[in-house]
Amino acid sequence: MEPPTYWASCATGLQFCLRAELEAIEGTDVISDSLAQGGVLFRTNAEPKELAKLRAADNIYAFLGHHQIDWKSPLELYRRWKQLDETKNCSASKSSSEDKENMDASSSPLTFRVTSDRICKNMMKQKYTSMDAAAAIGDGVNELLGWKASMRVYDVEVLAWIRDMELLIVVALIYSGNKTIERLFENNVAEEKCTTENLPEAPRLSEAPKDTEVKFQRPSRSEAQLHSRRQYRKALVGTSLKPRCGCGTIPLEAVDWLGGQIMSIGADNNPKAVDAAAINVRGGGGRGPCDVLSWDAANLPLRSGTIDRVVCDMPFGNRCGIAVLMAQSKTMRQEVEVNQKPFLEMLQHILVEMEEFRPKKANHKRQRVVVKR
Amino acid sequence: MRLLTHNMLSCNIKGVTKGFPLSIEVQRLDTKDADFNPDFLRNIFPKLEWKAFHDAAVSIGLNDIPEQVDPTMLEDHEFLQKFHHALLEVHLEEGALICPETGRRFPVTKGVPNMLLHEDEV
Repeated sequence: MEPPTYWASCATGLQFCLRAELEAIEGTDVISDSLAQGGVLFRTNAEPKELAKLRAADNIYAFLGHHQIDWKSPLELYRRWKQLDETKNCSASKSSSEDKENMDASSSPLTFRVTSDRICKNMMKQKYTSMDAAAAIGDGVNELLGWKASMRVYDVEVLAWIRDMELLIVVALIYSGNKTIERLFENNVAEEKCTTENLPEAPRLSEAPKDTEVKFQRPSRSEAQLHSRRQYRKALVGTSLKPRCGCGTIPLEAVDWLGGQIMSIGADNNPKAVDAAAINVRGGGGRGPCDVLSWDAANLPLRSGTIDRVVCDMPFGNRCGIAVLMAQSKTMRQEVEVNQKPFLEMLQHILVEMEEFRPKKANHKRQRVVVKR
Repeated sequence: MRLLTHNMLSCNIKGVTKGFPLSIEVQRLDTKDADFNPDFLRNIFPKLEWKAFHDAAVSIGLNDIPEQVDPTMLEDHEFLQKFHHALLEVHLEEGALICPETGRRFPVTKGVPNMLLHEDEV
């Protein structure tokens, strides 16, 4: 039987990282990493459990179609993944075949939504908007499968990527709708879920809902940052600092990756971010120690010589992409100088010794910095 | 907040020269298991201010941390276990950290110390 085809998403431009991870999984064939922005198309017989461990992927989708659309196999894949979730919920005394029957018998028409992303690279802007495309596809799905469209609370998410004349359609498997197939992929930390009082639930592995102020970093980005360090690091044992950690993605991914080899410290001056990070640490704390604090990154309350590594991403707080910069006729450098003053100030305050950082390319300057109070 | 983090924190109010170590006011502690990693402990040992660590441990009720350590003790499994426990497994959930020079209280809530300064302290 031919191995199923998946599409895994990641932050735009970081497909190399995801690709490397996929190629390490036995029996996986990467078909393309340039089909649409930010994702890799691949075939594999690997178990869902294994795929869910992918660190550089933000979400995994069943590949639905590229130009030609065949619903049968992606839907089967979706049901297979969903089955694993449902069977876990059923009591242990039932046999698995019984479960399957129960599932099929009770599967009523699902609710769905179509999310569409439209990019025009080489041609003039298409005459329709991404919402038009989503609506058109949604109509088609409704007609073909009888599913009901529901924008907010839905079972299945269909993602449509449009780039010029290309169309890629996929069905979300892990983060589908508001029910995440999370229980399949527990780490060995306590299952107890943290509740929040006034805060929206801090998403650890998915993009933040657009109506919150705090910007979350997608784990695929943190993974790529950490990945680039792999090439240069010796065995990293010590303390690792994230001065503006937002909801804690970088520190948590770091301890998840390095386990008990490091102690990760993350902090932010935004109370919402700190609360979210604290919840994330308590809820799914990773395999190593991680502490969260509230501080001003321009005035760190740390004594000298305590931190081994500093990991930070910038720019913070502002959504900034090529399109935005082009529209404002700015270069990235100008953007940083104008909007990222706090980041630059912080750099002046923290200087980190990066002894073994030996860039291969000649045009990278070697940075020598010293921990300063 | 673990004692390891406490060992790194220092009061950064303008003009303060002796902001380390912060004293600990305990309202609630919690103990959570952490993976035991002796290499990590050996690597982190030189970075710690041992006296401050010992005093902090005593102030939160842990009395099995010796006042002085010589490097041979780092090979002793029993000592490492106690070291590990005090350093990484005991959390200050509610309380405060107090600057030794100014007496300023930095509150700790839900395990998170708030080290943000007021405008007049920067």
